Amino acid sequence: MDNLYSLTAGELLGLLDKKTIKPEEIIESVYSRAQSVDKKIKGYLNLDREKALSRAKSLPSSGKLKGIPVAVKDNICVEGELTTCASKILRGFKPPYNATVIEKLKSEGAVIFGKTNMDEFAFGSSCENSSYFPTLNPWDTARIPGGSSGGSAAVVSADEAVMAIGSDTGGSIRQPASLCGVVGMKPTYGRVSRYGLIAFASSLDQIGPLTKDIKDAALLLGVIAGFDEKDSTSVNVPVPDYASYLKNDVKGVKIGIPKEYFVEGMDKEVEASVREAIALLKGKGAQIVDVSLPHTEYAVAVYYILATAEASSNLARFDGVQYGYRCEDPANLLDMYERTRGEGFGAEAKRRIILGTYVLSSGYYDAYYLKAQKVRMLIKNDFEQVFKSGCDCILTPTSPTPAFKVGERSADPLSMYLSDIFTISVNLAGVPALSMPCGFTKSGLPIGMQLIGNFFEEGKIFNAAYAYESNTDWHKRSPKL
Amino acid sequence: MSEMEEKVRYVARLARIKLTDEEVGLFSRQLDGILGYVDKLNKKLDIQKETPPMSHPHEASNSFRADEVKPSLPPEKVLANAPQKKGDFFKVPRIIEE
Repeated sequence: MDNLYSLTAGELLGLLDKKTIKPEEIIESVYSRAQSVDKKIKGYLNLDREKALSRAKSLPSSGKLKGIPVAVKDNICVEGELTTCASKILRGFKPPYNATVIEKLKSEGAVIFGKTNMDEFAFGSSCENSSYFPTLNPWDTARIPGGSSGGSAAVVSADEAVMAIGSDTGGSIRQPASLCGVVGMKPTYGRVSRYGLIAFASSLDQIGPLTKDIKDAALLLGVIAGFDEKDSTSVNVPVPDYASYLKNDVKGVKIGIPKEYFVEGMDKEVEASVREAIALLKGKGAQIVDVSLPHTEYAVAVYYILATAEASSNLARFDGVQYGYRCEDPANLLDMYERTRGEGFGAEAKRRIILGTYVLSSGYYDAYYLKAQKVRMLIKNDFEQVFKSGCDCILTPTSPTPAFKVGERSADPLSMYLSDIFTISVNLAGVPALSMPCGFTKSGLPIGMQLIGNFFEEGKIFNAAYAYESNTDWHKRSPKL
Repeated sequence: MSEMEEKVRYVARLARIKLTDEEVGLFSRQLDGILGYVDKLNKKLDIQKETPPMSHPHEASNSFRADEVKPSLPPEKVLANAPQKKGDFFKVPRIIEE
């Protein structure tokens, strides 16, 4: 059967159930597609046909994802596979264990398919900060795919993967999903184990799915979610059957529209598409209400203090002793640390470590770090107020603009940081959110909208998202490659 | 050397990162801009003293496990990625003079 690569996991599982196709045929189809288009996109860091085929041949006898290839962001540990966070400092690193999400995927029959490119250590919003090469947007290869999970979003968008997993610290799944025209979800903090995810900012990071449609997102989240005793930040809350929320019915569902997310200066086509999506949901019976998240304007400032502070601490482990790169002929231990880290980290990683160390240093801790932690509490309170008022979801744009051009914001880190202005608050609060396609610009670039839910209420997001998707066809469009 | 360049050099030493002079210049200018932006927390926002700092999205408590022996990674797997090793040890430059 031709073009298996273009199908969703749900469609492929149907064919596998009927025994119309075999898992190896899916692998061959998706691998051939990647061979033909990845030279333009550069979404994969490692992709090995023989390994994928051998995994497909030795699958468990059953499983929710039996035979489905899943691409994995390069900051998630796969035993014996290169896992480098797209950084020179981890070149050659092969983890001696699997991340919990990888164990869960394997136990449900998924085929771990390849490692995807990313901004180094997940530091970035454009996928230009990889120490290997930048990934490009399948809809326009002069543009960035978003970041940091740009590789995972791009390979799903270009049909080089059926599904992918990424990580989201300030929007790193949702923003590239939006810019590449796919579905991406950041689950509630603690919903998915972070064991085996190479940490960026431990109180914000969360692993989540990138897929072609909402049904696949619900399926993949159902597989990777759940309590894990290996992760002390994992929360022991039962995982519902997300498929039961996939109903084309939003009658009475209360959706909040925060005025702070529709600001002067945002892209007109993005605003128009999101407003049309709101109108569609209203037409289907959703109750649309105005809400306020008054501390939104401080989110980026809070994020870049807290995230860099946590990153400066987490990245202290890369010192040339236990794994990865070590500088040549160090004169002494201090020289080894300083040159290994100076030569091994890229510019954005160094910039963030310097900023994080600065805000944690004596004399600046209270003015920056402690104050940011207090404003984080105010941002979380904003969300709690909205959900206490009875809202089931909040709807916003995912990104203030469509994909920008390669190099356009590289020299100005602050303008790059502001690309995540609509996604960052969600990570600070810890609530779940999903990005899905809701239109295209006149020049053919995808536009995404974000649905935010209350803690552990991913199901309500899936309900609203599925109802919207069932009445539109944005998700069915594919880039011409 | 500007005040910000001095700060960047000082912080880079704390963070154990060797920077080139060009990097010190570049990061000083960029951090000036970023810190100017994040200063809005100090200039525009009046935070009450009683607002508690938030370090974690959920009520965090110590995560205790039973004190029992469980399998762990064998030394050869732990050492497999070492840049330099000797026997069952990671090898690093000498710290104590002879």
